[in-house]
Amino acid sequence: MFLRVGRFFGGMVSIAAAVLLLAACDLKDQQTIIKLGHSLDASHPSHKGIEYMNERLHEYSGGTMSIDIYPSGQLGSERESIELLQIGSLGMIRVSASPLEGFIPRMKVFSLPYIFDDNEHFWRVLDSDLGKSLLLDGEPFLVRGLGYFDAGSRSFYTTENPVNSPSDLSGQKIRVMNSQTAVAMVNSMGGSATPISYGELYTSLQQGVVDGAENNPPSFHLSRHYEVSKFYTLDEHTSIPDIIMISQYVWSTLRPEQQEWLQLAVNDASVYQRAAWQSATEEAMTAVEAAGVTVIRPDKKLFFDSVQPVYESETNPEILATVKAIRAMVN
Amino acid sequence: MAQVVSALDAVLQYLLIALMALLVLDVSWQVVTRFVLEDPSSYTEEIARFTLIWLALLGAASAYRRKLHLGIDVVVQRLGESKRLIVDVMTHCLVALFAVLILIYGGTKLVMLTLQLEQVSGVMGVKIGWIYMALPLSGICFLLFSLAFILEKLALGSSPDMPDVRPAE
Repeated sequence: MFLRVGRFFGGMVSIAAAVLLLAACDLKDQQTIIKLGHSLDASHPSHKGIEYMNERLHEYSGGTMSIDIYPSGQLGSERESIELLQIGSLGMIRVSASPLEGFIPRMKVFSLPYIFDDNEHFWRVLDSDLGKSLLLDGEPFLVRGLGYFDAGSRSFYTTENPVNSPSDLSGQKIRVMNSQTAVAMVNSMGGSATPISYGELYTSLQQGVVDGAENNPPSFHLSRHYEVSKFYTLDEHTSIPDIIMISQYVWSTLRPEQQEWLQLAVNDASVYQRAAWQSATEEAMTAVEAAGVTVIRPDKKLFFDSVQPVYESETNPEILATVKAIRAMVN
Repeated sequence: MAQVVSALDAVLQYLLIALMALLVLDVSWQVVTRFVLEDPSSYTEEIARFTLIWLALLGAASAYRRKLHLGIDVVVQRLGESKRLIVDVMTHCLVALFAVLILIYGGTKLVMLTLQLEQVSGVMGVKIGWIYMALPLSGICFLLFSLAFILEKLALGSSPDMPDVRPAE
């Protein structure tokens, strides 16, 4: 009796397994789903850009391709998610060019202060052949850039002492991202760069562990750091773009037409996100001014002059050549 | 075997003491540079992170050797001595299996890939692959310690008057 029941169940289980397997194959044939992870909040303009990318991809592929979006760093921090991309555990990411520096050496150029003169110069470079070649620089490292997203320009904000010129930074401890370039930049302007983690920054500003930090307007607003920092100096020292990247493994499993659809979707999203970013920046500026933050528009030339040592200390010929090419695109 | 493992244990212990001392000095230095010298060091955070990775992974192996890891022994305590011995041996076999598959095999693969892809750390520019070496090294320690435990248990099992080898807790 037991044996018979056992056999019966065994048979049922194998049939069920076969049906499931077939169903899975069938689904896989029709649908290509790519997992995308990023570290930003779902209300962030870049997240909206990625959602738009998913919509466009859906249209281009006739509903056969889609992107599963995992926001807020659910699948790991930016550095971790680049590693996941390299081993093919994650399909796509939206990542700042700043942590990419540790993986793709030439990405360092984006972290250099005042490498771009203005927004037009920034997009002229990113849309050029040079910008495209930088995206493909990741290929030997098993990641491939598909397009750029706007991440604005970073500026200083301070708690007590307004910064009108680089000399106002002297003696002020400024929180920077954990990157050698950022540290060198603030130090050459005369401040003391303090790399502390982003999560600790609000209390650090509040308690005076640091006297200020730097970020773009939407992040300054969304992080609520404006509640404890009363001065925002729009010196716009760095413009580090975000990059949409795909794992080389995942890319190679896509058929040529699928690759094209994805590329088109990213291109559309890039244009859409720029507009979303612009309005988010304006909103953020209005909001922080309404909250009583004094916005200072300083003479950028002074800041520009003070960071020249950062360029002079650069020795990597590849980076120097790229810097030269970018500067040659200033009108 | 027993001598090799004791030697390894001693070396590991001194290494752990050194790493702990480095971690304490490094973090103290971070506080001194930030609040006393007013010129914060950018290296300290990265050194602290990497030291902690090595300390935790090698320390876990050392703690295993000293039977300091948490275990739920409600069931095992009720077993007879011979059955308890079997469970003990099986437990150590599982540890050995984990060490070989995850720490040694997986860890070595990760180290090779990370070195090949040339990922470097943000501030010091250290190759991340070398930091990940803590995984296979910890695995080797775990494996040797588990083999020593298994041999010890088996020797006890074959002796006529099996004394209780569980340490006083």
